[in-house]
Amino acid sequence: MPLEFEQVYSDHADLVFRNLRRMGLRPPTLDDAMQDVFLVVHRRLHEFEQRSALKTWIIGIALRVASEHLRRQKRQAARHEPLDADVRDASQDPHELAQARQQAALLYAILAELDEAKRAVFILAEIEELSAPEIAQVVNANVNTVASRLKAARRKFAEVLRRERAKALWRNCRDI
Amino acid sequence: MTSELDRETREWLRSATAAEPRLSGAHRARLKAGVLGKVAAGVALPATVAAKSALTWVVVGAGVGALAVGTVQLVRSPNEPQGTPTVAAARNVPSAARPPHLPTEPTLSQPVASAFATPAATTTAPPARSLARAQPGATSAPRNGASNPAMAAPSSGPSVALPNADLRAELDLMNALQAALRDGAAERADRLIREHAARFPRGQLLLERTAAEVFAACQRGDRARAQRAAQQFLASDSSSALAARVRASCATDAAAAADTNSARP
Repeated sequence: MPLEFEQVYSDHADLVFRNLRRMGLRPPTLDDAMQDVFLVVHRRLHEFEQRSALKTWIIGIALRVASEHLRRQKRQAARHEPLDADVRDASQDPHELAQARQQAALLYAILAELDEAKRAVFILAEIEELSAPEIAQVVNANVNTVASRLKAARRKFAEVLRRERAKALWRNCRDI
Repeated sequence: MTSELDRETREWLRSATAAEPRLSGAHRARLKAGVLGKVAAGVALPATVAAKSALTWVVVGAGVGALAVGTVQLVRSPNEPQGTPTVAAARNVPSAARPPHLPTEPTLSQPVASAFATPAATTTAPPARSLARAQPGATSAPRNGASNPAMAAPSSGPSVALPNADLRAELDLMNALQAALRDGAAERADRLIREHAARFPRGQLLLERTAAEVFAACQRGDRARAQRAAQQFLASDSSSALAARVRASCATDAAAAADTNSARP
């Protein structure tokens, strides 16, 4: 049964959005990249032969689009814009909301400390939980390279998190 | 794979991914309309992506099967305790519990305490104080970090465990160092800085120690040493609040010029 773009978009828009964000894209580049990903999906959907998971195929496209837009973003002054106001959930406790936003922001900041290749592998393995062969396919590298990048990425991620946590603890206790 | 994420890091990651923003309905619809508009207008695919996407997906099938029997494993350790939360579980968090906004972009040098803190820990944190503001003659009593409620029960949200013994010892030492600076006890501060360097050569608060070196040197009137430490600090961190305090110290030309001007009759 042929895949319908509408359904594919509906099922994967959030996945693409989060992974583009994790790779380091910010508004307004983030929106441009989202559209490029689904433009590719729309054009290529008939070529998708279901020999891999649709999610894996789409993430692969998203990472390539992200890579291109990251280069573009570096050349531009980054503009930090909030997401749509209609995302706001009025029922959520403001403190919890602020805490969650800071935690997500810290996640993105730590990921940004990894180089692009390691960041991609880390996201795919530790967050999207893809298998080694799937990751190798997405990043177009062999499995040993993937394993090596992942090992380095895990080490760096844990190191930066430990450092930030120590700073936060000290701030909570003393304030610098 | 021997180098897997430790449990604490994994749990923090699970919690952080659950906190990530999601697309709003309106945003999602607007982006889709944009895509369909480009399709209708016959906008070309980005060249790089178009070429790669055509190539990559031809070679998938058998290759994946062959790789799947390889020895490299990215999955978690089989001896992991049963019931350990997984990232997959985090993705099942109801959308109502998720933050609605895309966070502003932080740098790692910005304060992110609440990214680790429980509400209680955050709300009971003492008011901000500055190492840079510690001056000779200051009378604030040193505080014992171990007796501080925030130390005794540090930011222990569901994603963060208690600090280990090394980190606790390092925090205690840094607290003592800050107290010395606040008391204007530069000699004591110097001794504690040396102790930190000896005990924690790869500590988690190395930059903070370097900032303390700047302030201790300023208290002793040793501008050359303050400048060296400030240069070292600013090479690693040029944008945080602490960096601003380092810049405002005796170590910088601007601060020195201000002192000179204010000393003129």
